[in-house]
Amino acid sequence: MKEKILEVLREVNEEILEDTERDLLATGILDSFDIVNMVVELEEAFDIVIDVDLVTPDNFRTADSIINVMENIIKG
Amino acid sequence: MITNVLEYLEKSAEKYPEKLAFVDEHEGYTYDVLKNYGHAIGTKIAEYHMIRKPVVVYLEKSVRVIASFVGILYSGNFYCPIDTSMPLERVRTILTTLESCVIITDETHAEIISSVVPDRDLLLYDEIISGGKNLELLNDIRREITDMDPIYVLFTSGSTGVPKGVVISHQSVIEYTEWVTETFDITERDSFGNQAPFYFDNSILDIYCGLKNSATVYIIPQICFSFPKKLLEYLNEKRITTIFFVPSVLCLVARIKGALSKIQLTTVKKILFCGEVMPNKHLNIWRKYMPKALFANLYGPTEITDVCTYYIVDREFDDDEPLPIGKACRNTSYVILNEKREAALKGEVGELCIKGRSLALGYYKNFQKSNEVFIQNPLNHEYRELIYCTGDLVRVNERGEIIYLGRKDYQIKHLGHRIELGEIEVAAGGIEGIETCACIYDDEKQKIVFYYKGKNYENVLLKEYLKKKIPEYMLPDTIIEIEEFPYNPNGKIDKKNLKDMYLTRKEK
Repeated sequence: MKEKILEVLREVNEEILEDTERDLLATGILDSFDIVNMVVELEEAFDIVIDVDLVTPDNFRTADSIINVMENIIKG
Repeated sequence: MITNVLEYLEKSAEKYPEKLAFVDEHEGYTYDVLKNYGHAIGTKIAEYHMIRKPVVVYLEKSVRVIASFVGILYSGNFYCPIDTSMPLERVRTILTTLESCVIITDETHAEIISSVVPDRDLLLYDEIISGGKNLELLNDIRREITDMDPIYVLFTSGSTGVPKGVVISHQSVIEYTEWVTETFDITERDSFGNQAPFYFDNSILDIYCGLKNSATVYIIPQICFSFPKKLLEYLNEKRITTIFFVPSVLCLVARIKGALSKIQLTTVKKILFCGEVMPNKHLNIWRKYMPKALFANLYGPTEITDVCTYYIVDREFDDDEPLPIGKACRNTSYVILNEKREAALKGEVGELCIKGRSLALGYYKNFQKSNEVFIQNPLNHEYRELIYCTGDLVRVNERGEIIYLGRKDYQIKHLGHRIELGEIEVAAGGIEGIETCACIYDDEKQKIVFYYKGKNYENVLLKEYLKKKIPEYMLPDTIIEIEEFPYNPNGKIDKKNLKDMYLTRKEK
């Protein structure tokens, strides 16, 4: 599953995968629309709903934290 | 009669000196502080003995930019904000056109900007706000300025690649500000949530309606535009009543599940948007959760001071219907010219041409380009009457509302039919799962090429959907899914770039 998540993230922005621990928000890799695009892409790829409360800077700060959130959602 | 936008500030500073005028993430300026900093900056620039010259502001978006604008206007000159994230080559091109000898910046950006243009004088913000004021001198300068003099120059991308500097006068901004205030009933009880960058003319509404009405303008922190929850909470926390956003930002919020239903906007009453087409698919989500709010679709190019037509949403629309751009603003009028430069007949497609006080003074140091688009009204053979040709194709519907169809440049003739690529885009934009799309035309192969981003569709299925909305001859010949569209600095899809991408793709 991790691979599939990374694949979706790559589609939004290739730079994300270079270092999964890097702070995506601080480094200016992402533009404003990337976060929402990522959320929508992940929802479609996994057929899930990512609630607005989960779309936070902490959850989307690094590729690792995104994977973490996704695993929690999918496990239910 | 108001003849200079500084009168707005001065009246508000007299009435509400201690009220916050502009607030950013780090600090807030009261009306009194803003006026005082303006005096100090104006006095400093006046040392250069220049008048009606462009002064560049090279600062991060903040209240400091606003104080710089005010100071530049006090000095009798006009301002040009430059985006600090703009590629330096483009900065160089613009500054070469402007030849302005003075740049307001800060210590963080001084080195970068002097590496681009080493021969200019840099005024450091922190130093100039603490300098002395010479009110007598500033008054003398004011007497020389009329409302026909420039207030700002903003650069828009030119189709040829060289940015064009649109010069706008005080009278145009005053006319616009008065119109917005009256139409949307803006008062001192309102507060604005500003999204537009200051180098983009949507910000004119926030800045000058704020100043005129002694309202507070909150510059929304950038992080809010990545996290809808933060944005909505910010609007509630600051008790924002009025927002004027680019449609993409409204779409961003609409696309996150539960955003508008879980975080009710408690103070926002007026939601205005402008800058690109607002898809009803996303607007309908906003309308569902905010049934009492006023929604208005504003339209206009930079050359006519932000907005020239508007539509206050007053009826239901299907997701795939286009939203009208409505009727002309007060004291603005238009003609629609067909290909023969005659008045378009009722319902006929033509180019929207604007007249009135909102017209720019032209492009800075580019009379040739100015003369191409600011022209004598071809329908008037009696006296001088300038119109601005927008290059936008429109028609008027049976309700008398203007419907935007697309760019003149993107009108094509395909298999004998006249087609607006914009019409295909509107049709496709309403399909479930399609987030963004754009059409280009391969003139050589005579193919309509359709690019889209969103849910992956079988081409056949996509065409099936489209067939329900547009004639067969308008169906795209080539369908390409794209990861990310190229955008121009104003956040619109860069079609020229897209077409180049397509052509190089073909060569491979």
